[in-house]
This record gives sequence, structure tokens and C-alpha cells, in this order.
Amino acid sequence: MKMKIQHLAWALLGLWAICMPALAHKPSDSYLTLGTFDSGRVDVEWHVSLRDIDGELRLDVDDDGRLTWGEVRGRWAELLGYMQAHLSLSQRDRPCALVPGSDQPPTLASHTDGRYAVLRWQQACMPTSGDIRIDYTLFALTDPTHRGIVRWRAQLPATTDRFEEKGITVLGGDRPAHRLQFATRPAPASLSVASDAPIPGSGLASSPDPDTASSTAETPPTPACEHCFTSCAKAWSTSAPALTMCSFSSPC
Amino acid sequence: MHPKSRPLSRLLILWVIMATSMSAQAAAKLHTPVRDQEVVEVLRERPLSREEREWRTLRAQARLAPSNIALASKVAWQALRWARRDGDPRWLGQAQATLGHWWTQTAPPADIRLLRATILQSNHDFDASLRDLQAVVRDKPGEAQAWLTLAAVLRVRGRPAEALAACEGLVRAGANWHAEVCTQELRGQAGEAAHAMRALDTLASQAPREFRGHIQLVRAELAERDGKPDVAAKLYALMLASDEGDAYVEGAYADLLLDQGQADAVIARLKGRERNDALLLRLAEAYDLAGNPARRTAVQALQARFMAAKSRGDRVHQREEARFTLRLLRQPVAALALARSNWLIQKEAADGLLLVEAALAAGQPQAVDEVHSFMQSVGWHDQRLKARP
Repeated sequence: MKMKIQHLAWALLGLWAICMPALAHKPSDSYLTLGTFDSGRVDVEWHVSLRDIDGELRLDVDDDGRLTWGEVRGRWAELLGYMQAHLSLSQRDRPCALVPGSDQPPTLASHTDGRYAVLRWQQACMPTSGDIRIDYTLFALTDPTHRGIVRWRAQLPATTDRFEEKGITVLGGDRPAHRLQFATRPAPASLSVASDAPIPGSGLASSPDPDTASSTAETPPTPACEHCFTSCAKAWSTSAPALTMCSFSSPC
Repeated sequence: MHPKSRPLSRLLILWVIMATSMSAQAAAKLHTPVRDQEVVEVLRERPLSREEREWRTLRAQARLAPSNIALASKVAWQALRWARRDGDPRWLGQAQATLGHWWTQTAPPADIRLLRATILQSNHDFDASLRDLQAVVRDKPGEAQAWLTLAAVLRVRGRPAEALAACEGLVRAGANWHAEVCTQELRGQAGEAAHAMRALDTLASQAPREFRGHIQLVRAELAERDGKPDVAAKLYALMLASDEGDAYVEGAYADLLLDQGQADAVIARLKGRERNDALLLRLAEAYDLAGNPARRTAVQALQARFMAAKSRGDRVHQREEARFTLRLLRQPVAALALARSNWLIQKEAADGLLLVEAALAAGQPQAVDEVHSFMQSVGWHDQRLKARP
């Protein structure tokens, strides 16, 4: 009989859960910025929520619910290793090597839902070897709803420290990989983002939809991506000249 | 919309996503603490409980045996219980991860399918959830939880006749208390508020203690529908004073207090609970009502959270976002679009009332008719709607 009561008490979950907005809190996201240089260098800056990291690495060793800087700082090397193991940059199946000693001292960032660890390092890809593939597996086994919001930036030609924004993509869940595509040189700053799977929930897909297809139907056959890039840059030239996001919805 | 304008609107959406994501990153201030003792994040307002410690051990075991149904169920149900308690979607993610072995299967075992349905409905994927629930009750008609969740999802989707049939399924599954509450709630919505209130009152005095919180919540919501806010307020306050209240009840009580213009009471109750988006929204509205300068920070925080949700493609917050856009950003046309899109998915009283409020503010009363004709078609009554044009 007790079992029955317990079972019925369980049943209460359903009714209550449905009443309550399930996502009363912000879900788990990380913010990853990749800055690419003509030399092939990639600067990685990754903000990952301390709350999420604690769920995996148990940073709060005394379990008091309050994470101190000492608890975080003391585990930084482990934390960095864990993150680096869940982000892979490669070109033609060859990994872009970590640049030894390029990681930056521990620091934090405040986002809207709390503090994030800021992990920064460099990787060395080949200067003109084509696409960079990114594989993102952070928390893939423990929270499939986690997403990495990835921002691409590319060095502006003839500068050393100025970047052009190239796009944002959302990785994680059923979309763990992505290619950053280099178009034919020497076109200036001709990077574009190539989608190989739908962007979750955005209603956008990499496969051409009728509208996009019709807009690209008049395109010269090659290079398709450059055409998309140009048309979108035009569309936004008055309001947001630096933002070129056509590649998300293009069939490139 | 003209088909040619679609690519442009897509670009607009993408531009918003890019701009907001970039600003989210750019806005994040870097900070390197000086002292090791500095608290850099409050994970919980209490130490880790024995239950949570045991759950972590179970989760580790489940990872080693990913196809063990009993173990996965135990870990996932507990995560769902905490998702309800905390309102934190990370728990849903943990529950989903535990079901990874079965997640994409067409017809997983019934116990797993029920869990999957519960997670899907929490993410507002109601159609997929309904498919799973209907399969579970067909294969395992004695599964009370499945009938109960099925009834709840059907009610939220605005299908009361089918929801009532699911309540009857609860009787066959031997869950008589739940069946009664389930039925009375629907009767109350269908214009028999007084009768339902009396029946629920009797139930509350007879039912086992663990049922009472929920019965009181149903009574409070019925009282509101029946145009008796004072009765509802008393019930909410009682629940919150005992251990029967949670963030949902707190939000419902705050709404009622806001309707009555009691902004200071809302501020007193909700200050310190800003991590919860739904409560932060109420707090921001209270600041707004009271002319409190803290409004600005609260609005900025909410804006950042809605933008973050957008950048990852979430649409679960549409009700809250519509309300935020209407009452705090004061953009009725944009709010109406959000409220309408939300109304397509959810048809609870709050969704209808919000759509009406946005439609009137935007000067587009035809949306009000949509709500009224829907209510009429399913036979639902709400005095609050009658009070509006």
C-alpha cells in the first residue's frame, strides 16, 4: 500500500510540472569566440558557466553551495584540459595544434546568469589549407540541451589587431560540428560560415529553401558562397555593414 | 507575408541573433578576483544535501550502464523533480542525457517513453509529448502518471474533451484522488466553478497531505477564473506560508498582487529571487508600477536573458517575452505578435488574457475575438475575460 501511495505521489509531478514554465532559468550556454589570422593562428576565447563546470568537475569541494575563487583557481589547469578536450579545430582531418604556453591566466566574466570561467589560448592551423572544422562536444554526454554560441572573427587584411565579424553559429545537441570556410584567396577577408546541419530552433536550415534557392538561382556557378556573401553584405550595408550572415541561410 | 520578403525577414532574425550574441559576449566584464576566499558563484543557497550526493552516485552508475532502465528512470525522475523545484532547465538536460540510449528510438520501453514525454512537454514540444503519452497509455493503461500528464498536456493545448477522457483513464489506473482533482479542474473551467470549488474543498479536507498543495493551487486558479481574487489571494498566501508553495505559486500570487496594484508587496516577496526569469519579470513589473529606479537594471537583465534564449533558438519563453514586451518595453504590436504565436502553442487562461491585453493595447481587437471564439468553442469560461471587451 505504501508503494501505491508513493507512486501516486509521483504522479503529482506531471500536473505540477505542466503548470510551471519549465525554463524559468536561463539554460546552459557557453560563449566561444574564434579569431582567425592570415597566418593560420586561431585565438580561442571561451566563456563557460561555473555552475555548469561544477556539475562536471565538482569544483565546490566542500559542498557548501558557495564557490570561492580559491576553489576555481586551484583547479584551473584541470579545467582548461577538460575544456580543450571538448573543442577540436582541424583542417582536412589534421588537428590544429595547441600553441604551447599560449593559455592566459585564470579570469572570470559576468554574464546575465552568473559568473563564467574565461579560457583563452591559441591554436595553429595551416595558413591556406582551406576549411577549419570545429567539433564541439562540451557537456554532450551530461546535458544535451547545452549549446555553444560560437562567434567567428577574421583578421582584416593588412592589419594585425583588427577583426571583421564573420558570423555566429550555435553548436551542441544534434549539431556538434561546423566548418569555417575559406573562400579562394586573394579576395579580401573572404571567410564565410558553412552550415552542415540545421541551426537548432532557429527555423533555418542549410538545405536551400525555395526562397533562398530562387535568390541564388541567378548566381554564377562558382563560387556560390562568395555570391551569397556579396548579396547579403549589400542587403545590410546601410544598417550593419560589418555583419554578413547570409551564409547561415545560403546553400553554400 | 509576400514570399519575396521572407529572405529579408530571415536576415533580420539572423541579424538580431548575431547582434545580441555579440553584445552578450562584449558586455561580459572580465574580472579576476584578488582573494581566494571571494565567493565567485552561489550554486545553491544551502549545502549539498544527502539526496543530491546520492543522486550524483546514481548518475555515475547510470553512465556506466547506459541501457539499464531502472537506473536511468530513477536518475531521470529525480532530475525532473528538481527541475520542477528549481525551475532550472539544466535538470531537464541531465534527465535527457540519462535517457540518451533511448532518446531517438521510435518506440522505447514504456517507462522511458513516459520520461521522454515529460521532458518533451517541459520543453513545450507538446505534439511529440502527446504521441509518446498516447502510446504509453495504450500499452500500459495502468500507468497513472501517463494519464495525468496526458490530461494536463491536452488541457494546455485547449482540448478539454480529450483531457476529460484522460482524467477517466486515471480512475481505471486506480488513482482516484488524482482523477477527481483532474475532473473538477476541467469542470471548473467549463463554467461549473461553484460546484467544482465545493468538490475540491471536500477533497482538500479528505485527501492525504501530499495532495493538498496541488488541490489548493487548482482552487486558487479556479477562484481567479471565477472572478474571486480575494479567495485566490488567501489560498496562495496560505500555500506560501506552508511548505506547499513553490516558484510557480509565488509567480501566480505576484500576478494577483500586481493586478491589485500592490507593487511594494511584490517587491518585498521577490527581491533576492532574480535568478528565476519568471519571478524577475514580476519584480520588474512591480518596480515599474512603483516608479522604483531598480526597474532599469531588472529590464536590462530580462532583455539580456530573452536575447540569450533567442540566440540559441529557444521559444519556451514566448508568454513571458510577450508580457515583457507589452508591459515593460511598451511595444504592443511586437507583443501582440509574440502573444499570438504563444497562443498557437499554449491555451491556458494566462495565455488568452495576455493576447487580449496585447490586442487591445495594439488597437487590433480582432485578436480578442479569436480568444473569445476559442473559449466558446471549447466551452471554457473566465470572468476576467468577460470583464474585458
